[in-house]
Amino acid sequence: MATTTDNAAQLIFAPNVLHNQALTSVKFLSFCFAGAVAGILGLENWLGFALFIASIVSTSFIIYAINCRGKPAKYLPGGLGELVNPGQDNIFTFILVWTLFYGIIHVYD
Amino acid sequence: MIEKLFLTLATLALLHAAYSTYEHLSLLKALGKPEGSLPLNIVYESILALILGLLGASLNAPPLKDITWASEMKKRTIDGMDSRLGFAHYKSRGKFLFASPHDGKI
Repeated sequence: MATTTDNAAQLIFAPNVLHNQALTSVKFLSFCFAGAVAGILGLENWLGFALFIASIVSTSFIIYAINCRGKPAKYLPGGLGELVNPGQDNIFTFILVWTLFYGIIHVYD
Repeated sequence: MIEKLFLTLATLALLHAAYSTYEHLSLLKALGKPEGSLPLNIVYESILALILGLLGASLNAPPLKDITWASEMKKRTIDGMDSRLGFAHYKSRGKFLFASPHDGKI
């Protein structure tokens, strides 16, 4: 049962940690919407990434307030850092949806 | 319920804003001045779609569960988790424990 020698890790109940990975889908949806808005507004270059940073801040704040109810350490083993981290693939998701909408609206004749 | 509504509204607003932008740009191209700026309505609609989308995505997630063992043990008893099977024995002292009291004689 306790196969790890890390004392702090023995206090964590792993199936609930797995359940809380539902937050990754929240972040994915948020960055899809943000990318679409960046494409619609025709943002380019640094303005688009500024919207990406703004959406990271907004998403973190909303997850902190609504999902974690003010106590991220209770639900995420990484605490606040893990909450703010957008995840490895979500920057590519943002760029994908951004270029998709930008291409359809502003470039396609 | 409300989260699905938010997500649907956000998607519809996004598609509407996208189509409006496309129409506006087509109009500008037809008029021959392709460097106009977007009307403010579309900007507001996009930002509203973004905010609704963020809120809908967050409310759509299932309620999170505490990750510590202590909180999980609040819902269970220790006997359910660790039965100490190696210490179990089947001799019962009920005959002595629940016998009616004598006046010193066994």
